[in-house]
Amino acid sequence: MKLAMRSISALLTVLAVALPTAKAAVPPQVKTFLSQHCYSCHDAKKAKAGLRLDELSADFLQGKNADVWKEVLDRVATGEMPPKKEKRPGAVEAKAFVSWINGELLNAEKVARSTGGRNLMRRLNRSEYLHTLRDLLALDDNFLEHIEAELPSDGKAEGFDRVSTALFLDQTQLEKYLLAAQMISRAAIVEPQAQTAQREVFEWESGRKGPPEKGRTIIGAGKPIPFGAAKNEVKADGVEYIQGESYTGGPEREFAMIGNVALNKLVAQDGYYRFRIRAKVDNRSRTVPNRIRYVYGEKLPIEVRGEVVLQQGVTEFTLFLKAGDPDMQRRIVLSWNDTPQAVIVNPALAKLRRERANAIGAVEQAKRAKSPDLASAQSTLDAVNKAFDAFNGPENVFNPEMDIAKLPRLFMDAVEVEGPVQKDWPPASHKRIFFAGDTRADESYAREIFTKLLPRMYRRPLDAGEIERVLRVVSQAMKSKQPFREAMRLGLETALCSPAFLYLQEPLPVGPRALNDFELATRLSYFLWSSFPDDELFLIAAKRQLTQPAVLAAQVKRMLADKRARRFTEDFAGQWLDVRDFGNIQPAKEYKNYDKELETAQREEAFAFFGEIVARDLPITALLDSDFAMVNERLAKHYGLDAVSGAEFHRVALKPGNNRGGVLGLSGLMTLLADGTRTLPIRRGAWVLTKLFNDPPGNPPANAGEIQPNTSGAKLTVRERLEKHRTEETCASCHAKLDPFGLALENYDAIGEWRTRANGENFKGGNTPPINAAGEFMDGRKFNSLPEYKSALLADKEKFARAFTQQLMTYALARPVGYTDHTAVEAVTAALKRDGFKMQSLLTAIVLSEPFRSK
Amino acid sequence: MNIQRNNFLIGRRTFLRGVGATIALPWLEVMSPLAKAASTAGGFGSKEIPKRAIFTYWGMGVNGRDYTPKDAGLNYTLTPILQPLAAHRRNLTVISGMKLNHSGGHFGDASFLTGTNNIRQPVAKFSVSCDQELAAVIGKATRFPVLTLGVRRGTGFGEGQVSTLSWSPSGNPLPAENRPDVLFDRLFRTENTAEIAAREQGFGRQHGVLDAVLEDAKRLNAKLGKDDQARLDEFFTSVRDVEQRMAEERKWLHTDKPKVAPLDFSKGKSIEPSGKAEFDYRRYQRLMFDVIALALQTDSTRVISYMARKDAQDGTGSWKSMGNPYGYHDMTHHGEDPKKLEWLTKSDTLYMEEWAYFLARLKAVKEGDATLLDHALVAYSSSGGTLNAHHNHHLPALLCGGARLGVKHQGHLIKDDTMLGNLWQTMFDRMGVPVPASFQGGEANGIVKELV
Repeated sequence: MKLAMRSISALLTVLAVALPTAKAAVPPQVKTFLSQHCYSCHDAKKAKAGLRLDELSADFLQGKNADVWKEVLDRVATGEMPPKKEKRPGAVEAKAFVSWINGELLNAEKVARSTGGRNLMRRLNRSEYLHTLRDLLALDDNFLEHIEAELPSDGKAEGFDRVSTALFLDQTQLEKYLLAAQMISRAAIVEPQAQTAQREVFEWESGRKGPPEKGRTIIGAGKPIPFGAAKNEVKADGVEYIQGESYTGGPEREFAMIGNVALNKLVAQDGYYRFRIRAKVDNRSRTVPNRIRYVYGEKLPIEVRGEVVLQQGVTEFTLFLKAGDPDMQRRIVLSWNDTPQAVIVNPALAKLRRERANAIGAVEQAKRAKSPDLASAQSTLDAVNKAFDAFNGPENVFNPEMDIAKLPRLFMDAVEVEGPVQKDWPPASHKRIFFAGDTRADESYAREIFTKLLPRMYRRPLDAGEIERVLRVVSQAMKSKQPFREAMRLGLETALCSPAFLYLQEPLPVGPRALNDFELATRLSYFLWSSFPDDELFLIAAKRQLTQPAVLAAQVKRMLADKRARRFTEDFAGQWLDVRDFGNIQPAKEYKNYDKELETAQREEAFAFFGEIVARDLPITALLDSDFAMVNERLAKHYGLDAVSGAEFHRVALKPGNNRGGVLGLSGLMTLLADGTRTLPIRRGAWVLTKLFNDPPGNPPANAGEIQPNTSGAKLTVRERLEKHRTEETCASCHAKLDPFGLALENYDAIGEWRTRANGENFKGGNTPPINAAGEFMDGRKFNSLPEYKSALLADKEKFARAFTQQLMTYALARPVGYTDHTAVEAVTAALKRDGFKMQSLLTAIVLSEPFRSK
Repeated sequence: MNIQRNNFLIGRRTFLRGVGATIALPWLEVMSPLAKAASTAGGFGSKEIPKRAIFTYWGMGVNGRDYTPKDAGLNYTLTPILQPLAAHRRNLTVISGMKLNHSGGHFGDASFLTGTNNIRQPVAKFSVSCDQELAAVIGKATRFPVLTLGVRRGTGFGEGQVSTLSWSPSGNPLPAENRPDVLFDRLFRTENTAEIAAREQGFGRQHGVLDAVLEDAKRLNAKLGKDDQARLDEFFTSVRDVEQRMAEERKWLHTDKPKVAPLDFSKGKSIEPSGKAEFDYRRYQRLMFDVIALALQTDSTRVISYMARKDAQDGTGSWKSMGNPYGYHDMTHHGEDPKKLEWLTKSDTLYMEEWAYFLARLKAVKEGDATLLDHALVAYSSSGGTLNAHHNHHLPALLCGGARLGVKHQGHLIKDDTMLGNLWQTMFDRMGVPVPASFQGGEANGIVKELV
């Protein structure tokens, strides 16, 4: 195996590569600039504003030097310095000066963040904490959502929430761990009897009335009109429906509401609630199944939607319902897929209404226009009114075009709701902890339980005394007359708050050294699963076989095939592709195609796309451009792709004119890299350079000029405005490099929809300027369109592969990847290239690399 | 003196309990100057009235064209954005020209109360914020030594812009609370005996857990290298901090929380600014200010930091309610577009109306022969400028209240090139707390003399 672990001494040589120290000497051309433009005020003699530049060191890591250089950069870049009355520096000169400072700042930043290739101990982040508990105790997802809401969000460094220096532990965090441990121990270990559920029966006929016997007064008619055909009939023990009450429109249109049930009292807390619909269906000629749709807490944060197939007699289903705030409308609305238009308004009445409206309209118009037709219009209206007066009804009739006798009838008897109920009792967590049942309740049982539990929680065999410290808590509690289960809860809480659980540790001897089997298993499982090693990994580690490269590689393959690998996609792509931030930009109202459903679909698309590349072991170049997209019905519509139906995501082949493919074709990303009104080409360009090529642009000077938005006078496209901006030489130094990468994406508007003409930002109507996505890179390569741009990116695939490897290694190693990792990054990238840039090859190569296997 | 204060505290609380339980009028009415007899009955004797400091942050500056007064001095002309403060002009000073060296662009939020570069590499130094330093000296006297509040919950660390103004002595960002109802609950919800017993038991339980894990931590520490030990140090510090807080809380456990009439937190529209759902800004903002005023009035805390508006993303979206099509950040990139400038002024004015509401609330509470506002130093500022929101100079700054703490208001005071840290130092001075060593990381060099 080529990537086999070398000896420790070879490893030491790699790690011993010294960090490049910033050069302390200011290069001559910078010195010249300073002496020509700055020293006259900022030297030993004058030191205006207390600033001396003549003795400013070029060691950016020392003292406040970087701060001072930053200040110099800002002042020169904005033209504030040298002062207006002094001689202005030439454009080329200023540009070189600014570029040098910018480069040094970025350099110093990298060095400052580097840990010199060492891995620092770190605590679990929130996602890992939750996944660990999910796997450890089989806790309910709905319950874990509560824990998630309690825990503070994690800090990030290097773009990921896995790096030690940003994963603080302070009083607040520890308090939350204590609280979470208590919540978990109570949910995981339960009392023999489930808490008693409340039950309410809603008789369907209660409070419902049939149509008014004497009929109703109708506008236009002189007397009450008989009601005629009714959609339902209220009987002594229920309600029989031919048709539901009303339609909500939209995707629900084939369903009509049959009523709602108020659960304000019953749902006082979050939990599972069991519904029993007592109903009968007389299907008559119907062949399709009868379905009931339910919406709980419509349009509120607690909303739950779903559908069940109606059974004869009792239809039972269980929902997890949230109580929300006390004053929220906790009701559930039921609809039935009935026969629309079975009962219609009497066509004669409809005709009279139409005629009357027309006649009134004609009179009004004639009055306004002072037309001679007024008299005749008035007499028409009089005639219609007379006919209306004579109308005897009925108001409604059965649709004459249907055979009413053959339509299905739904008989609703009652709806019974019970809760909160336990889905399983005792829950899986309880059964897992008390593996030998609930009959034993002594200290030896406690020892057996924690002997099983603790090594999983601490991800290694236990040290002497570790189990005793937990058991001491249990026995003390039992001595003070606490029941066994309560004592066990305390023991579990202790383990959950132990640093052995909360921190991923790789203790002495200090590195650089090879990881032992358990450390490696842990690093691997938190890399691919965001959770602790499963039994198989643990077993292999115990046999000391995991450090064998072939075994390790086989484990990577197995783990990627497991459904837990989805967590790698969510946690890595969630941050690398910024998917976690999708939805943070709320597009302006003028983008009518944008809604919550699209936002959700955009997020899932990114995960589905990245996940597809991982699962099918596709080349990572698919991230730059791909011949497929992952879409559901909503997105297919957004992208103008062939019909895909339903909310599920499917792989769809792309044709050249589809204008999608790769991460830059993800509309969610393009939405994020816009401000809701207009596109942000600079942000898009910076994103491409930073994320895809690991080449972040320098920060703009503090008081930088703006990209002028469209003022009411001149309607310039964003490209034209950027060109104006670039005429400033100091800005041009960065923007010439940056802008093409973003302007090439101008065909995607502020919600990632394809456009060929400018929209948004005061551009309305069809005659707006066409989009120009052409550009030229710094190296002189030109492109005229998005496909050409993507080809150009693909031509740089090796640079991308290196950058992507670095990002992935940062995530895998959970530390900054710096100069010291140069050799490893090159080796992994080379292996990747050899294997046709395949994603799983990359993941395997990273796992087999020296940095991953050593501390 | 401490004994005296404690006596008074009990008296004050008893009084408030009476109000809440018997008349159950909205507190504002009861406490307004009109209800004179009631509001002075349990009021502070003039010598015992506590001093308070409130630091508020409003991201991305203010539209200086319609904010900065043209003329200086006591009788400066009110500008459109300052108009809502007309009734309070004698209770505040508009300070123009201050700067925050480690700001500009969008990262000054982390420097606001720390003075130092708390975020931006390569030379970020994580350092303590001055609200925490102040609380370390005076916080023991109250149930809550300091409240860290914001328009977003959490710290926001690593997300571009932070969500908190507060940083611990070890330089960790401290999470902010953004739900007025939850805050109210923490401050005022009376726990029944069962709950208190449960809490006491909880303390015992947590103490036991911490004891056991501390043992684990010690064993682990012996097995770690130096760098890892430094990480585990955070764990030890946190255990100590939690133990200390529990000891403090235990002391307060049997002291009743002050009783106040409930506020209406019912949620037709959400009052939690989560950023993901539409919410009612004005109601949220007023409830937040109501609860803050109550916290101060009942002497539940004396120090508050509040990130009322975030940098770069604003966080409140309040301007939307006016039909404003632009984002707040978008407006600050106005590029002289008259439409955007007009909306920016309208938005800034809306925020200033809320600020005026807050000042009026504090003014409505009588304390001795003055008001709560006179006994509080209430600061409004930003890390973005009035000339351009992305500048680190010409920051908007208002110091409000504090007349009884020896603040001499100057109307419009021009302090070009003065460090914002000097405003904080002025507040420390008026609180009677000496500034600690290397205050604001050196980004403060004296008080604003005109104000004292």
